[in-house]
Amino acid sequence: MGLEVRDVTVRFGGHTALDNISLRALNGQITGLIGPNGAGKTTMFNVITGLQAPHAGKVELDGRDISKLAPYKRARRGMARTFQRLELFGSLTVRENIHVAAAQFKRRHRTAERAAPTTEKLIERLNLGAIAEVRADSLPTGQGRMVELARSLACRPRVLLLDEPASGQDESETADFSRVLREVADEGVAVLLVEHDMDLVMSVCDELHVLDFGKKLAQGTCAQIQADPAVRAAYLGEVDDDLDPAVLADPDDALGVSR
Amino acid sequence: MKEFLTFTISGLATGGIYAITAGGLTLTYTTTGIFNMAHGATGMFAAFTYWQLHYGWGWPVLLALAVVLLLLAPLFGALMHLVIMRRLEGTSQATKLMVTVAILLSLVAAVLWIWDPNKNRTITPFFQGHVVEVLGVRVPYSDVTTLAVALLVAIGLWILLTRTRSGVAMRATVDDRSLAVLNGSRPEVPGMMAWAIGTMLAAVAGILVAPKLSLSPLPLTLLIINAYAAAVIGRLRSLPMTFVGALVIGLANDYAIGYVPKWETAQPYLSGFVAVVPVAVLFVALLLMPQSQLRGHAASRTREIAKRPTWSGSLIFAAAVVFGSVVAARTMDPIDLFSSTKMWGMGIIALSMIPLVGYAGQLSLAQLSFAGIGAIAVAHWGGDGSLMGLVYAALLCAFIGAIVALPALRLSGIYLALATAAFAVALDRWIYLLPKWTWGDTTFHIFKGGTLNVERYDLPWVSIDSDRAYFIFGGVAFALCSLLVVAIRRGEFGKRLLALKDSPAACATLGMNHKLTTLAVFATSAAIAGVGGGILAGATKSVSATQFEFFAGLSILMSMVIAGLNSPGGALFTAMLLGTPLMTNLFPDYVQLTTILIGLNGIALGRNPNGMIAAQLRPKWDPALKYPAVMAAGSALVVLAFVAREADLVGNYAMVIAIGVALAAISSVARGLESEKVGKQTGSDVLPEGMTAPPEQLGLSKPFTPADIEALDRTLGLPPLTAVAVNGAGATAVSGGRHGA
Ligand SMILES: Nc1ncnc2c1ncn2[C@@H]1O[C@H](COP(=O)(O)OP(=O)(O)OP(=O)(O)O)[C@@H](O)[C@H]1O
Ligand SMILES: [Mg+2]
Repeated sequence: MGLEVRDVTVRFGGHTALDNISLRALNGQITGLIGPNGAGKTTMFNVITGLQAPHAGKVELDGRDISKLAPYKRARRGMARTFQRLELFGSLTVRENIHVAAAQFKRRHRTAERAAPTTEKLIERLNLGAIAEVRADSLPTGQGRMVELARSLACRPRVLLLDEPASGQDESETADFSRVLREVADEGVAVLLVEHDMDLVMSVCDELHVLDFGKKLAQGTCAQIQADPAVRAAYLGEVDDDLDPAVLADPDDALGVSR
Repeated sequence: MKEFLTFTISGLATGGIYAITAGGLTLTYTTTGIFNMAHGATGMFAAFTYWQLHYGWGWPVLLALAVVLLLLAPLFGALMHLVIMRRLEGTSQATKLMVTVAILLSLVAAVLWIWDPNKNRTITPFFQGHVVEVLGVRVPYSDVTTLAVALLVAIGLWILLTRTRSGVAMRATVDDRSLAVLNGSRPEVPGMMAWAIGTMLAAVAGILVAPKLSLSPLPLTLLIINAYAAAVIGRLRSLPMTFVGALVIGLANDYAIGYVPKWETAQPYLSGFVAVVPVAVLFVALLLMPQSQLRGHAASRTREIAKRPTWSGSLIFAAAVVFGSVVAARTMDPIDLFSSTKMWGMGIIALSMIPLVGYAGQLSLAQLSFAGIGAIAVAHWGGDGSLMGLVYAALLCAFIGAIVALPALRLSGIYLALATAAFAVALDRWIYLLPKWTWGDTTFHIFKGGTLNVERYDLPWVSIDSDRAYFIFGGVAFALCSLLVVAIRRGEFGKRLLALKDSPAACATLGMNHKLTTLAVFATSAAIAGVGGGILAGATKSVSATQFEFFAGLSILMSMVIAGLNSPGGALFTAMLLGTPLMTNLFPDYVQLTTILIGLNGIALGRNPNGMIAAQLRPKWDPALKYPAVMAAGSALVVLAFVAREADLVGNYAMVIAIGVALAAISSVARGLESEKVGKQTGSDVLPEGMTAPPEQLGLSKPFTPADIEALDRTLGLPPLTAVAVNGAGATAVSGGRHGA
């Protein structure tokens, strides 16, 4: 089980941002959602988390329809996300950012563990110790994304949505990131990843969905997607810069990296 | 039937005025994203200018109208955009709103200053005496004019927005500012046009309505509250809906005025309600609004910082407040002391804004009204000075606060601000004026038709009946409340509030129920305000409704915004500025000076959204916390000065000056040490010109001479000391400013 999106349509005025899209993210897997700019990926995340009401379609979490729930109730059912444009609590420190989330979780689930230890563990796990007392709005984007990840993990999610987590990160940060991502998925979380960095996508994802102008272009394993001519024409062809030619040439190797 | 027709026609005319006002308001809001609280005040200013030109200087009507409406008003609007509004882009909604409140206060103060309020002025209706017969009803020409103008405005706006290039550009700016820039249109021009036209419409409405009300600043300014309701019906977006809403409100208003007096049993209770019909419509409109979408934070150009206060700093601040209140109570002359006892109540009301406005970023324009409710609770239920009165005040205010916030919770911040404004106005115009009523066996008479008497509280061990003792009691209460506010900030609740301010969307995705959190903070701050009201009531011993008017509350809020909404120090500043005769003593000839200063400073907020304390005072005294020796020496000097005064070795002035010098010295020395440290690190080690010894030795191993202070001040760019140490209250200002910020 995991997250299931059925036939979602979103329109902005006359523009159809999502046209009858379905997708699924299974527990324990990393599912990639890729597509060119304006394809509707962020809009899909907003629909899933409840920040944007769809014109049609359903969102299900572990088989239960959550389409009618307010965003915070969906979060309480185990949904967490990061944002493409950072939504850190700028006037709080990094530690406080994570603490707010941990305390929120603690208040609802009478877990034995208090909020503070959870926070400390996450700070250690994501290597944030050096910046724990820094105000979040003074962080560079790459570190900001790590903090958002930590904050969403503090909610112990069952479904984790990541919107372009690697943009603005340097190579070592991205490496840390994909390590944590894999760990999180191995703990049984369903991860849905939107990302333009094809190296990262191809190396960590188990399955890919490709969107283009609100339409579903393709779906399949990394190898299948890389071989798909429509995808190469619409998307992969455009982002040659991001893409290691070796990966494209030898998709099996790309998959090999991720295991 | 004829009567009904009469009320209908006059109602339509009233609605026409609301429509013109609300149209201008909506135009500027949609184009620039700024909700102009000063819209009514601008119209009021225009009406006074028109009076001056036509009645004061005898210009012909048409010339006066043309100069005001076609020249001065648009010019004022355009200037306002260029000088003030343009710079607000990227600041928070609360800051934007507060800047317009500042303009409102300044305009009212300016009018009171320019046109002596004790002189009676009237504007006669246009075409006075001329009437037309419509279906047997005599309709004054002025009503016909009003309706015609409203129609013209509606058609004009419609043509402007749909048929002209600049109008289309205005709408484009609303839809997407950055996109409009990319497409090569300059958002400057539409913004300026919107302000020019909006101001012109405000002026039209002001001049049309002035004959209906008396020509005095407040009623004209507050007319805006009625227009808000229309704008809310149009959801601050749709002009046609706004116009329809305005007509409905106008009709409801005039029917109420016409028919309520005929209903004898209810008449005494509803006569005030007539004045709040538009406000009631506003509440209903809020209830019917669809839920606003949760938003992330706009990328702020100017970061609005809220440093986390430390316990040590906050305790020192509280101690300094208590000490300052003891010093002040023992040195001020009895008359000044009596008129200053209310400062602590004011200060607590100001403190109540910190969690709500400062931490959570929600604007409440009704904190003083909650204080009024607190005062009423104390007077009615406090018995003979039982402290339980304050508990009742807190509970009642928390309850009412939650109810007021409830309709606006689903909506974004601006609507909460409007709901509080509507609530405050409803209290002023209706609830406070209610006659006695009986419910079961309990009879209730809110203000007993005038003033309520309040006894000072009974404390277990001491009597605080004297002004002196009550002043110190107030200081202690203020200090405790400041610690409460700090505790909120440092606790989990406070973090949640800041998180909510920074990004409601992120909070929701973490599972936080933002409505509940907002409700909680609203109730909390209403409760604090209620306690402030109770303490204020004890200070003056009798309270009347006028003390808690909406308008007076705006000054407190404004002063807090300027001094810094995150700092108890800001509340102390506000208390001294508005709760003591300090300003009138210093500048007896300029009664409006306080308001104008507040207004001007508020207008500058766009550049410095953190307020004065965070931006100016705090950096000056912060370094002192790092040097306990300096702090101790400075404090010793302060205590010494006080002891010397008590022993009659020195007089009041000498003591005040000494304390001022000591406080300034703490700052100077600490900062001297700080720069010395930095200087050492960079290898430079030069004494500032005119100093007798290195700053770290001054006052410790070397004597501190006035020359040193002067030199330090010069190097650090401080104003001369004499400006700081004017009297006892001034000294507390300095001590208060330093740690609580
Ligand atoms: N609130 C909105 N109002 C109007 N149009 C919108 C809104 N949000 C998104 N859109 C439009 O919907 C389309 C999809 O946007 P979305 O942000 O989902 O794309 P994306 O795939 O996340 O792109 P990117 O890779 O640039 O992040 C775009 O054309 C965008 O302009
Ligand atoms: Mg996106």
